Amino acid sequence: MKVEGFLDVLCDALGKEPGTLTCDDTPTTVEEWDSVGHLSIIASLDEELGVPVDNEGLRKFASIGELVDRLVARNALEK
Amino acid sequence: MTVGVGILGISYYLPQRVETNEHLQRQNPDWRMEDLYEKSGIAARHIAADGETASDMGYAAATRLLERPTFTPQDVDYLIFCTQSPDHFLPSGACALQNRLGLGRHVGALDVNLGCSGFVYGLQLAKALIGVDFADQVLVITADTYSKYIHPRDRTVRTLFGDGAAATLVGRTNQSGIGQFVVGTNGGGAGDLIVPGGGLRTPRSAETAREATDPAGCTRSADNLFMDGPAIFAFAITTVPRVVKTLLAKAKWSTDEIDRFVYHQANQYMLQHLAKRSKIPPEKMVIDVKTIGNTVSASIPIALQRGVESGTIHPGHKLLLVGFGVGYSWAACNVTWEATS
Repeated sequence: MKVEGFLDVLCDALGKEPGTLTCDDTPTTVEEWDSVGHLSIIASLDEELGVPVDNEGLRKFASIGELVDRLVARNALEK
Repeated sequence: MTVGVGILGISYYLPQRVETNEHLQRQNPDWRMEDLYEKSGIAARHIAADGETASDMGYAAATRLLERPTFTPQDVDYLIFCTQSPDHFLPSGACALQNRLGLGRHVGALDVNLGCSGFVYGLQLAKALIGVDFADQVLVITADTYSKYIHPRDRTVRTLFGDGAAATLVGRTNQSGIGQFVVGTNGGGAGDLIVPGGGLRTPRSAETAREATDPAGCTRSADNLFMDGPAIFAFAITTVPRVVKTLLAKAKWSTDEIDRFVYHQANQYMLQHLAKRSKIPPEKMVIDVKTIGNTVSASIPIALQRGVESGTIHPGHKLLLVGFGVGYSWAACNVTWEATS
């Protein structure tokens, strides 16, 4: 999956319109990214990308860009 | 002729006081209770009164069970009390309950310190004790009052957990009853769901009582319950589907032939996700959290009994039970339901 497609997966997970998230977004800039929203993101990694989310690096991230970089490094996303 | 070990009956007890989402919203105007409800499926929880403990609730549940005409307290010869909110460090709550319930002095009694996996562990111990003729009837009491550990301003746990107790009688039956088990442990996750203070490692002090507010706006001290929600969620969605697969192979059952999946009632979102991951039809996944929340070790037996009372679980039904959580600890078993009382 390409990064753009993944951003839309995250929009869906957070209940936002497609195309409304960027790699610069953080829990502070996205109202829907609360504790439950964070669980939705983790669920989407499990469901849509099939990556093992018991890895701490894929549970704790401060921005979408940080998560994307980690997924790209694991070959789970294409830049 | 008896051929197996099964569940003879279950009773449960919920404290009188009910804390609704409306209560929590009034007390905490900054909490998005409607959004939380949409995900968790929890609208209310029962909260133990001041001075009401897990053993009090376990006693109430067990009394309701043993008062049934089909059961005789003197037939119980083993008592397992599972709680993480004991009355005292010592003696064990099981000893106090033996006396309070008027059980015989021949009874073996012990406490099990497990949370969400505790009920299935209790069934495993009960089946093993009966299987080797060390007991004929085992009373498994599961009870918890996590509310007493929870800081009122900690949204992550206060909105989820409710107090409750269940008493389950296990004995010899005419059917296969309780089947195979798969259990497991990963103590590496201990810090993700913990009350850090108050034990002998870190005794209560002014330091452990010091409150702090995290970046998400949740306040707690080391004397309170802490849960890393994302870590627990990730643990559950990676572990439970694997455990279920292993158990099905061991029991030689297929997903299709199971009538009801009765998992630890963590919250609706988790259960729906687990159902999706194991390709379980939504109507077969029991979700009963709306009015009681997550009642820890009592959640599976309460869901079973309420399923029986509402007509969704019948004698002959094939059930798959899975407990998972604090520890990390998990346990799963297959059961052919036969309790009729």
